[in-house]
Amino acid sequence: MQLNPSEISELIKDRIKNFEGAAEARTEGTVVSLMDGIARIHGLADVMSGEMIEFPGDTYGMALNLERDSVGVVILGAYGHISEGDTAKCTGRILEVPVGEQLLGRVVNSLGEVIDGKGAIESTQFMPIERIAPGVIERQSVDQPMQTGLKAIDAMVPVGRGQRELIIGDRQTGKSAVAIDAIINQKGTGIKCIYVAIGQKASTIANVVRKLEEHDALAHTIIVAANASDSAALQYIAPYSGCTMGEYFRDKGEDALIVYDDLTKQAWAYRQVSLLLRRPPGREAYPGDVFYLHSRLLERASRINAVCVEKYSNGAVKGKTGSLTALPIIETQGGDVSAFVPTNVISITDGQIFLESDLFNAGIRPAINAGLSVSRVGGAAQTKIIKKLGGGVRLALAQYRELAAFSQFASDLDEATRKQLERGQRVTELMKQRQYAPLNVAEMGVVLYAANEGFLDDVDVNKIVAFESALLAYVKSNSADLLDSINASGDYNNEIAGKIAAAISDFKTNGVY
Amino acid sequence: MSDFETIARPYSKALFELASESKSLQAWSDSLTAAAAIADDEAMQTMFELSSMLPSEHVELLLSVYAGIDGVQKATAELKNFFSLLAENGRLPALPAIALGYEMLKQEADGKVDVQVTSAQKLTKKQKDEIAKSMEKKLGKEVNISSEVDATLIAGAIIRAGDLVIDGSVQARLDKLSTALNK
Repeated sequence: MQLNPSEISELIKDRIKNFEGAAEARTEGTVVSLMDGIARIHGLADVMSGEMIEFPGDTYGMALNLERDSVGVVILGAYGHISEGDTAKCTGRILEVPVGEQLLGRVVNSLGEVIDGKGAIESTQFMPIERIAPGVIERQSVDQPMQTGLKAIDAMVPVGRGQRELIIGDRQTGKSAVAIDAIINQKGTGIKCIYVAIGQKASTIANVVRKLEEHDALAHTIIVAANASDSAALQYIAPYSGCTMGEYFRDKGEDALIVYDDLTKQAWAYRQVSLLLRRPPGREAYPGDVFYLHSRLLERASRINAVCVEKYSNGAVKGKTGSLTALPIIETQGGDVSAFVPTNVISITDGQIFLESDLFNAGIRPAINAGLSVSRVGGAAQTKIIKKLGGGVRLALAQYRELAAFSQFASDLDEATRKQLERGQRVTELMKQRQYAPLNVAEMGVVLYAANEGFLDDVDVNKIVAFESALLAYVKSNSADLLDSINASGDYNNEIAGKIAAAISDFKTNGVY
Repeated sequence: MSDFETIARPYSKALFELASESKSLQAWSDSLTAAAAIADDEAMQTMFELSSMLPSEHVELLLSVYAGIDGVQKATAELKNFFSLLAENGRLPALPAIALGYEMLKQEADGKVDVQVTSAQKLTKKQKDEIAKSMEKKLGKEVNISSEVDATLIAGAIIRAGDLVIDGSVQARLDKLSTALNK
């Protein structure tokens, strides 16, 4: 027989000493039926909606349906040991998860229990998973950038801190890759990240964890995983648990980023739970409150003002605003954005990044459709330099798309049209970016400047990618001060423009690509 | 169990209202308890399910057995009507649930509540009185204490009043300690 690490006499003594064994008055009920993870319970006279229900064997459930003679409870986790006739007790508590810094770098399940085998978390603070979103008075407008490190996104569909930006696309279009890159880019910025994986393969999650670890990004990230093998109830509550963990940082005046990967699967899980609870099905068999399911979740991503932060932190944090930025992911079927859940989430969020399989297969990665992707509030939050230089990119791509379709019928084109087409091709090429290689503001600024000011016009289209990486390497080694100063201030003026232009011309004469 | 409860609720309520209007709560209670005991019988339940019998025959059968029970008052016209109504709606098997619902309504109206105490050792008169007193204070109602002994609790007692359970047994504390240590 081997002793567990937790069986040290001191620990046992401590636990026995702190054990509260007083008699308590609780409402009890009896399990009448049990099927597919749903228990019907008779009794439980004063149960609350959403209350945690305790079953034998340290198993918990959540009361969802309060009916005349019975209570419908979803069991969170395995239910093989529960049988008809067992007693179920009210706990008087709403479902809670642990929150705090000690969760960073860890993988937890929807209930906040560690599943990465790195030992238990000493959690001192718990918060309910369902919280009301901040009200009008507590909010502040979005005016700080949340850099994703992807040129295409930061230039054309910028995301601000506290914004909800949807990532939408078919399967295999690089939706998760965009989100993971955004997480990696938060390294060293102080933005805490939460990655909520819903209904994914455990191997995929293991992969994400490994990639984040490789890029030194796990230390500022919490991973909340509800695997495909977990019960539908756990998949349904996972985003709320993750959101609560993010709100902890927001409420203490920090910035956080949360990725829900993906909400389509959460809607499926909720549909399953609802149908098993015999709630009436509506369109596509989703229950009537599937809009509220997502709206109340995404409404919690917000930027809150300093007064509010001071109130939430009991005066400990003064003069700092907090934010929770959300990047929900929705998977469409065959590019159909008019299905029920995609339209809902599009209408809830502050813009969307639209990924297309045609672009992806044509080698344009990230496969962002610049025409359909928008950001409704991010423009106010862009750094000066990106805002100034990114505008040209968007315009060039829009004109290019129009002309490209039109010019297919024309045999000979006038000079201006040809030039616009060439510029468009080069910008399209320039927007390509490798995975796990986010760029900082200054690097992006230099690249965008080169495109805007025509430095690429005499570079072959198929050489653009090579040109870009050689240019960045050259500028990094020869004009490091310039990059540092841009990164520090984000400013853009004639002096900076002149310096960038000089650096690029210098590269074009001396560098090789 | 809970199927019948839903069906029984409107009947129990109607009977209770009728009984309180005519101030015959106790009489109805006795009659219903007797009728419920008959309907609960297995042979009777099978008879109720026989489709070859007419509803009126069911009522006759029930009334004949009812008349044979000692110590209950004779079936009133209202009781007969009630049985016919149940038979017509095919709800005779729900009689025990209706009687139970009626008793609960009656107790609530009386401001009384049944309290069951399960203890490891036999309770003394003084202990029972003390429990009754504190439960009356907690629930704000007159309590009706019944007690039983269960040695597996080791020590202490469990008090039940409807859905409310106060578990002060050593067994429950040991269970809790074991989950706390296993975490």
